[in-house]
Amino acid sequence: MFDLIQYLVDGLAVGSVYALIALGYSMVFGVLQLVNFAHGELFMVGAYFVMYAISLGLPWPVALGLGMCFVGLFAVAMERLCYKPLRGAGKLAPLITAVGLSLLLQNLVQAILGPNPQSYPARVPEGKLSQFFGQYLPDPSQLQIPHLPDGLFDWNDLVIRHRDLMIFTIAVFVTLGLELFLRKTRPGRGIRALALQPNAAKLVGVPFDFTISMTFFIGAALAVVAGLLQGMADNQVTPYMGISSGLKAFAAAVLGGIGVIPGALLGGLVLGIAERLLVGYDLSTYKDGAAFFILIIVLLLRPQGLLGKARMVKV
Amino acid sequence: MSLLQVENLTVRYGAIEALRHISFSVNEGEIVTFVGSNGAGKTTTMRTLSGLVRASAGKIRFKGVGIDTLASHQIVKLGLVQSPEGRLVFPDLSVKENLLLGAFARPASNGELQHELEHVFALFPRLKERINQDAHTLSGGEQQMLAIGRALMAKPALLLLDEPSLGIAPLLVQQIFQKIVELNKKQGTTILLAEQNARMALKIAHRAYVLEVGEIVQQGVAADLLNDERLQKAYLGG
Repeated sequence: MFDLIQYLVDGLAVGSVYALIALGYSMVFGVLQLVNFAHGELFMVGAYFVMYAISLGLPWPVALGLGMCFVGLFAVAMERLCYKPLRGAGKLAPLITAVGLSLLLQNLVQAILGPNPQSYPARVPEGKLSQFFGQYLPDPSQLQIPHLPDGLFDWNDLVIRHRDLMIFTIAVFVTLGLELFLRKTRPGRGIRALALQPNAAKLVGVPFDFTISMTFFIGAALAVVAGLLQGMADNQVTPYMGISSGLKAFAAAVLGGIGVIPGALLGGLVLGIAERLLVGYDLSTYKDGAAFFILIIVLLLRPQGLLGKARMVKV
Repeated sequence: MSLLQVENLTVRYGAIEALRHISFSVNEGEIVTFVGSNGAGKTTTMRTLSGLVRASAGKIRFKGVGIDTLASHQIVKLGLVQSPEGRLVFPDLSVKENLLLGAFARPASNGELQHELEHVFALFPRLKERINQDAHTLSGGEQQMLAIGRALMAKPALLLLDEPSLGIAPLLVQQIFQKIVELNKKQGTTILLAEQNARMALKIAHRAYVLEVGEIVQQGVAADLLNDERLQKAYLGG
């Protein structure tokens, strides 16, 4: 019984990272009914970007800010170049494009930075690249590498690591902030209007293309936050982290009710906890399958997801 | 010069020509109506004016500005605002939130918005009773009032109303048409109305165009068309 509570707590941190990625899946799906399978790769690219920026000697807040802007703009460009021309071409074409983009990014990063995991301080792989860039990497001993706090709360043997608590708190605040942005600000209301009724949103004057770009930007920026947290927590980034965490985050978004912001958080946490429970009870072989098993069960019982609304359409 | 001037407008959906070289105009202060049966091209005309559909040929000038290449939100900013067919209210938002979104294109102070809201409530008191209710819980007629109210929040120089009578109880249709006249007479709002219910539309409009499979086949003063023999046979059930 006591173990159970411990696993629940442990799962919160894992789930929080899924949640931060799931927010982007959910927002983009909300406005375009598009599952942007390349979103997981944005998380991966963000994790690399921030790790290298920090290894170049930038303070972590600057590295994070730059990463959010760079990956955000990258996502905007991706939408403009790859998805926008396919509007009106049905749902299958953009979906296949998304899968293609995901594979492309994963393989590009692997080709450029190598297939092996990187950890702090990041190194440029041997070869031509390192001849170019290697000299710019500062002496590792000079770097200020960000650390998640190491401390523990020990309460009657229930151990809560400070870093897990911190990751969880960040995820909760980001979700709240996003929800507030969507409800209280003008651009946020535009995103919501577009998600609820696209043509009506256009007719009240919501700028369509700009709002779509903004949605991609925000989703990508949040994925970079997740990338930094994951990179610090595991002290490693790999070209494959996007595909594994990304798919689970997608499952989390659907589980919570895709298009519903608090649903992404809830879905992420449920999946994170489920994973930890399986590991805790010696079933870690099934860890990665858990997300999808839960997803299937929930969708059978509640097709709209945990927090999604099912509504009859009035005509 | 007319407020809205459309020349040789042609719209294609793939190989199908939904509109063929139609030309029409709306003058300030008028109610102009498009009548015609289902599929005649009324909604296509409205959607093209609002920039939801692109014209393949022709010119649309509003307040002297060519708007056929503008995006929807830019057209709304110029003051050409539509209450669409099927109403398209924001289902999960309250009546008040729906109305406030109507003013999206026109950043206004809270005081101004409150004033505009009162204005809409004066026209449709029913909306005030339902102010905090989600839009999807409203009846069809109430949703229509909401759609018109939302368009009014944008302070339109030209209000497009697409099929305001569609799927609404006859008694409410009467009421809504009275309100349209009231808007036009008391506040001088210029209105372009697309309507299947030709008799109702011709009764309140100043001028009318008759659309048949994408072409304007008749036009003139609405009162004259109401007594036109051919039109009576085709659309007015008499």
